[in-house]
Amino acid sequence: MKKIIEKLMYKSFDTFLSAKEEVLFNYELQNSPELREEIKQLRELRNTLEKSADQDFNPFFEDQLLNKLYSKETIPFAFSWINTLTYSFRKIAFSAIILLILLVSYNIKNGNIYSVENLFGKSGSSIVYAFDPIQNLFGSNN
Amino acid sequence: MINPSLSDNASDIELIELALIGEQYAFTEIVHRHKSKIASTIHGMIGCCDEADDIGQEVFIRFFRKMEAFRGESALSTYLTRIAINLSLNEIKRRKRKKIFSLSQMIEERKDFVDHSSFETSYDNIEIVRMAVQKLVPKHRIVIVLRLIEGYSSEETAKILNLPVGTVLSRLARAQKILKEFIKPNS
Repeated sequence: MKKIIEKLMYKSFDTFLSAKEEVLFNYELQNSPELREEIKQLRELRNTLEKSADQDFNPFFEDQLLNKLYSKETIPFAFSWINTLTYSFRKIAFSAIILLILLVSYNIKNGNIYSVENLFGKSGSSIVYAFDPIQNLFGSNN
Repeated sequence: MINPSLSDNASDIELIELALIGEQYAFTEIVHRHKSKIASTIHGMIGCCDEADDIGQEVFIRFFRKMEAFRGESALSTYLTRIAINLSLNEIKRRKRKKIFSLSQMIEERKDFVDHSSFETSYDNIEIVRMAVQKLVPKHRIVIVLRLIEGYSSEETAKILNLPVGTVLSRLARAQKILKEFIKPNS
């Protein structure tokens, strides 16, 4: 079959042919049994492809999917809201850690003494005070 | 609480709005409405296998997580089909990397074509045609699946694949020609 006719045959199935193309194609169609056979086969193939669309997932597909979605996660809106909060908190926590490291490094560098007092730049502080309720309630006056 | 029976008549956009406020039945209805189309797209792209169900689930999970971003610029079925096509292409790439289909397996499949089909009956044999589709390269397979299996128009297919209509038509012609050659018993 001529290439141009073959091209027109495929084109005729999916889009419109121009007037000139249609005349040429119809002439060939009337005179070529080979073209008619090709069209018949192609039509058959396309019908079979169309029929092959009738497929589905396994019968439990929906249940499995909904279990995955709704047993582990909350509704999308709440999910995104919590995500935003978590994300914001991470940012704040990360900045606070950086600031703390900078402060501690600065104090170590200036004082050159490795003690809790020096690290936080506060005199009279120790780990014991942190756990002493009286000290915490009334401050250093007691 | 909204009556779940209303979801039968609701549009996709209305169902999405309901699903976004946590109405589970609305999302269930979305899945129910579109799963067959997504199933045939995925089966057309990667064949019937266990992975097809996993990819189908992944399509809906991705949509569920990005539901807020859906603007309704295209039909929901088109949007889901696009996700299904992308995930199927990833699966094809993964298979290629892992070489799941060995050369000997392919030769065996090819032998089946010749042994059990005749020229007259092959074109209407769904199983043979499905197997032949799996042999196409992905760019040809996609157009066959969207245009001829799913029944999208050439223009819709072009829109889904972000290609000019002319390219879709030429790939479609080429793909059909190759399919016919695959199916011919003496090829």
